[in-house]
Amino acid sequence: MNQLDDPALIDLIAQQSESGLAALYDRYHRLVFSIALSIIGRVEDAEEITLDVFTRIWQHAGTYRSDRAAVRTWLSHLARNRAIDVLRREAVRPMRHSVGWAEAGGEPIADGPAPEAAVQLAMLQRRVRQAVCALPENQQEVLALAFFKGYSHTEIAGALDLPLGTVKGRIRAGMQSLRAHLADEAGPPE
Amino acid sequence: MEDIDIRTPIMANDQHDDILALLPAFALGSLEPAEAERVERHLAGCDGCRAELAVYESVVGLLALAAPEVEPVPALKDRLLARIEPQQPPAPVPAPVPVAGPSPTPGLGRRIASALSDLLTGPRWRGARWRPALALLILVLLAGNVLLWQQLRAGQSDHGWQQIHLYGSDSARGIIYISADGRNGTLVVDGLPPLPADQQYQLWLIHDGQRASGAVFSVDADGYRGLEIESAAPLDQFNAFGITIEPAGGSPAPTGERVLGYNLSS
Repeated sequence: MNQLDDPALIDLIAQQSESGLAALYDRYHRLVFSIALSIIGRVEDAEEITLDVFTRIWQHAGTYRSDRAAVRTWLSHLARNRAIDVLRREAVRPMRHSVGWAEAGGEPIADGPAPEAAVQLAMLQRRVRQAVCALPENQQEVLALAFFKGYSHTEIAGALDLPLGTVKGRIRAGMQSLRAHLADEAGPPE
Repeated sequence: MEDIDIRTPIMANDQHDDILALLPAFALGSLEPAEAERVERHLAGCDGCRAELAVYESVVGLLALAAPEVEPVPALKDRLLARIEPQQPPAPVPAPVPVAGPSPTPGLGRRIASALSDLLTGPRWRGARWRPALALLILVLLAGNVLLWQQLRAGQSDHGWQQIHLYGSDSARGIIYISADGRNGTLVVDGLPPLPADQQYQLWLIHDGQRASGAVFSVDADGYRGLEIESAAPLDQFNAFGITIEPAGGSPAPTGERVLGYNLSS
């Protein structure tokens, strides 16, 4: 099962294969949980969001379109949107809530057999983190508020007490730099 | 750093430059609503900007990998597997009703998957509470129930959805579903000929002779498409609907052949 690629796992899940879902969970549970925890900041809520995301995959695997996005991107998108929705429903959005990016070194590959997919994910993770860490800190800061908190330009400007134009410029420059550094990865779904 | 120039040769005017500057923030979801609407309007008719946006959306997808990684408790996997339940097997498709009328077209499974994908994962769905009913509606509709097509005459459904049939020539047919509050609507068409790459169908929402675009779309090889209607005004305020053939990306006003339509006042 661990040797199957992501779309093949999704096909299995669409046929109601619990072992397929378990394999996908093994592959991506840390990613989904980490996104949710970075956004929401509470372990219990992050666990619930993780369960929601994989339950949704279980229920809607048949709707997956590999030409639209990679499975990893689909999972990340679901986790981020779900967590930001929870934040917004709370209506209390601590404007200086601590958010930040991972260190550049990347996480060690999990214990146990390291199938090709896990190695590739770890390598990609390392490249993305290096690209983010290469940005000036002020760009990292505004990108973190936009990505992890779902803040708009205006909200970021208010949170950081910066002119709106400065926030716009930093977000644009940061995204353009990431695009340049990640040109090999930022393309059509694999 | 803040003046990095990523323009490509396809960007030739000030509008492109303005929109290009907004695409990174649009992909990130940090634009104010008015700016986001402006970008969406431009994207509808600009292949170049859509391609640029796709790259920035990929960057946003990669950013998730830079979240500090934390391992959840092992018991979470057990909770997941305990939570899921095998989905009920699909209900058998009823035998075709022996009445006159159009036959269901092939490609049912693929069409259902495509329709549900469009409707359940669309990024700008405005009324999540309608999703289950709408998904069920689409499933029923696509189940090839000929009788259903015959029954769906203009009027109120059991769920309060208003159903409006679009008529045309040949075997093409369409239905617009409008939610009870008028804020959400779905268009389902079938039997429309697939168009060449430089053309698309466009839905027009008409009120007192004024036309607004409600959707620009293509159909699959079976001539089918189901999609959400985009409208700033409540859909129950319009008194006529039409679908025309337009250049790819749509037109500001109808220019091409009308293939389906319905006028409530006629």
